[in-house]
Amino acid sequence: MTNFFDKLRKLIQLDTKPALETAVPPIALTDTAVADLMRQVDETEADQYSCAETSALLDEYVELVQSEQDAATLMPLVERHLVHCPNCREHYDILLTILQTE
Amino acid sequence: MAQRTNEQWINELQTSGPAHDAAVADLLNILSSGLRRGLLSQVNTSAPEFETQAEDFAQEALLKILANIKSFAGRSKFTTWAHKIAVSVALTELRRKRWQDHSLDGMMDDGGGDYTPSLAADKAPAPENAAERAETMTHVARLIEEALTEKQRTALVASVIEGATTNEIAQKMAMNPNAVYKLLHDARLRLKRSLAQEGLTPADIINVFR
Ligand SMILES: [Zn+2]
Repeated sequence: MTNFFDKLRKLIQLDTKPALETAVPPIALTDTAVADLMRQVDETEADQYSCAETSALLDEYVELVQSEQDAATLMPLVERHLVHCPNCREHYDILLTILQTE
Repeated sequence: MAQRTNEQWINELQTSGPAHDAAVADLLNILSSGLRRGLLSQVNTSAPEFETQAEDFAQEALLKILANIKSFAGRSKFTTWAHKIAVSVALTELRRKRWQDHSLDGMMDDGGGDYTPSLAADKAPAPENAAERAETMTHVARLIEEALTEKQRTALVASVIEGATTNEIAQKMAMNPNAVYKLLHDARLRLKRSLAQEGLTPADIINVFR
């Protein structure tokens, strides 16, 4: 932890650049906002799927779920996107309902 | 209704004549019935316009399906793929309407977000490491200002500080929600890389606020 603050202080001392020319409104962070953001940042991976990539595979994924196969293991990137994206999750939930009530 | 294999669906939808017409009629039935079942929890299905609405969505989906039929890769049942397109059509329209209604309500009850800005938590007695917290926060704010593009910053601030949902940000920035999702993803990835360049990890920062 000490190491972390040493690094951070050095970085802040380096930050003596002149103020930005365009006035950027100050960012009103709170402890909670920073912690939430860092949790999100921590989970962000370069190879995460976009909505379009997820949508392209959603029919295949939902059939795996419906047939009780291990969809999360077979298509982990789709599963991961669905955890983080409420819009795609809603699409998935409705699609699954349709198949399950056929 | 005739049971069809994927191949039969594709062939019949692409021919002309009675087989085509029957396949179109069956598919429309399948899609509007699916939408009625799937959207039960989403909309007020007792509203008289719901029946017509499901049929309109199915019609619109049919046009998309026919236009994109060559892109069907056969990895699922044809009807699952078709349902997926119909749900996408319906959700696009319903989300647009939700927004109109939302604006009419004068932005009152939003209810959509799962994020509650927890000001209460921040009013707790000052933690022992208050100075470190303040320093860390200044540094994160600076990263947000310097490492991100203006668009990324706007979206991220709306998401993290104002607690706006992807759909709300999309509306505000006149963008499509999928593009906002991507924008936020890219913003977080940039922050992660900027931290890494400084030899820091998100976990280091989370620890300060524990
Ligand atoms: Zn998505």
